[in-house]
Amino acid sequence: MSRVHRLTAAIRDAIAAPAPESEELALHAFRIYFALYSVLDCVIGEFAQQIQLLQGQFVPPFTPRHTLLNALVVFGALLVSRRRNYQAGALLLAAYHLFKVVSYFPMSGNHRYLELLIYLSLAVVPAQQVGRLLRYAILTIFFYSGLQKALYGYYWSGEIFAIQAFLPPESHLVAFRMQLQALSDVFGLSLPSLAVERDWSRHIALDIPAWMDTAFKVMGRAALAAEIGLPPLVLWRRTRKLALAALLAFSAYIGIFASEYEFASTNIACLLLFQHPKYMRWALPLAFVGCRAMEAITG
Amino acid sequence: MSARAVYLKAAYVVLTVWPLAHMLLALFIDFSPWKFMGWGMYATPYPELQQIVAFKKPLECRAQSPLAHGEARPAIEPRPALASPVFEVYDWQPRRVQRVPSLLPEQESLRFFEALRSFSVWNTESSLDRALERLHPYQPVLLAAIRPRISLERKLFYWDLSLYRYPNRHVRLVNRYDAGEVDPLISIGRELGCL
Repeated sequence: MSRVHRLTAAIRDAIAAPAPESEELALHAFRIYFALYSVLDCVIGEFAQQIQLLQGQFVPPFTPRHTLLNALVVFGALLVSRRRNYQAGALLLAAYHLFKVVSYFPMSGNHRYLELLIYLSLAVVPAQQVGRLLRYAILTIFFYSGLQKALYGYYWSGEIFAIQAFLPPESHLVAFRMQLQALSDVFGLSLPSLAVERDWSRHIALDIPAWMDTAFKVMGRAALAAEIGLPPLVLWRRTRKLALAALLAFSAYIGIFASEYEFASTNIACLLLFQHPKYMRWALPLAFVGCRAMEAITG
Repeated sequence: MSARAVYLKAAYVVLTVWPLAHMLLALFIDFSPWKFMGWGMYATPYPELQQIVAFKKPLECRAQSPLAHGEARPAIEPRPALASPVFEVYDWQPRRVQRVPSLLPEQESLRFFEALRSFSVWNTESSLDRALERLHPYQPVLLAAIRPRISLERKLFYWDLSLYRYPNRHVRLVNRYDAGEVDPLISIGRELGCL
């Protein structure tokens, strides 16, 4: 057997349903998860954004356009949660996510593209094939995102974490620094005084302790190693379980430390398709509630 | 092989090949990383953590007080106050442009940099394109790509800054410098004709 054939056989084996008899059950839980996700994104998200936009001035956000959109999304979510004939609902939710991509374009977040891909796959790909395609898609996404990060120096040098730790306090990247502060409090480590009342305009000498320098580098290189190295390890049976567990842990890390809650929870949902459906029962709600709670806590 | 199986195989091939092809197209022929089922930030060449800030023509510029005869210019020049309303900080969320009111001279640096809240990892061209989609109606005259940098080796924090003029809907790079060379606010003030 040629190398290409061996590789395709390994991929086929890796993305096959872990429990073919209950693949339908797993995909049903997966669809319910994304139905809830869309409802939350549309109803709550639009509501919160309106309030933020008006900077505290409360104006009812449910204009006729929003009410219609919300009703369509709720209807789509109900349809996609059905055991069978869910494709129309998936198409409706795909249309909603396409609307979000287009209305935010060119500033639509990357996770929107992934969600659109998921809904389109659910709508178009036959039910017995969609699980495989989604499992393959998530591995591809991890691999290529790692490759792209490796092509520039922020992660390799650990600078990306250092910047998040030392940016002005009003920046949206504050979650990491809050966690860093909490960790250093717990372990009694000395955290350099964070520049709050400084003249930001010139070079600022930072008193970065050696442990922090090393930690940033290790975190950056571990992220690269995880993204590039783990998807190929899923292809081999011997390393598959460990690699999938590591990818799940890495997705949780993305949620907790990088504040990419939507992306992290979508990743976890896709990665759970590799596991036996019994894990879906508790892991999927946990990912959903956990990510939303983190989002609410960090604002 | 049925037509459905062919489409499915094509989907796998596209998922495998398109991200890499998209990366190369974006790198070599200035192809948008965000269009054509875009791979987005994962196809963006030379991404940098940055935020675009747009500057409008200030209504008035406070002139620097002239030096009295024989008075020596101080070693560190006081930063001149920038007129109000002078800058609008572009936030990557749609329709969200933060207007920062007049800046007190002693606080301006702090206020300016604290107003930068939404750094994103894009390359500069994409960031400018994205910013101008929203900011064009505000008729900015100057754009700044502001990048926070930290050198872990030298244990230094500094701002890396590119300034762009925006005449007749064309973006023209004026200069790129880091904050160690020159105070970014002074460079911006000069470009706006305030100094």
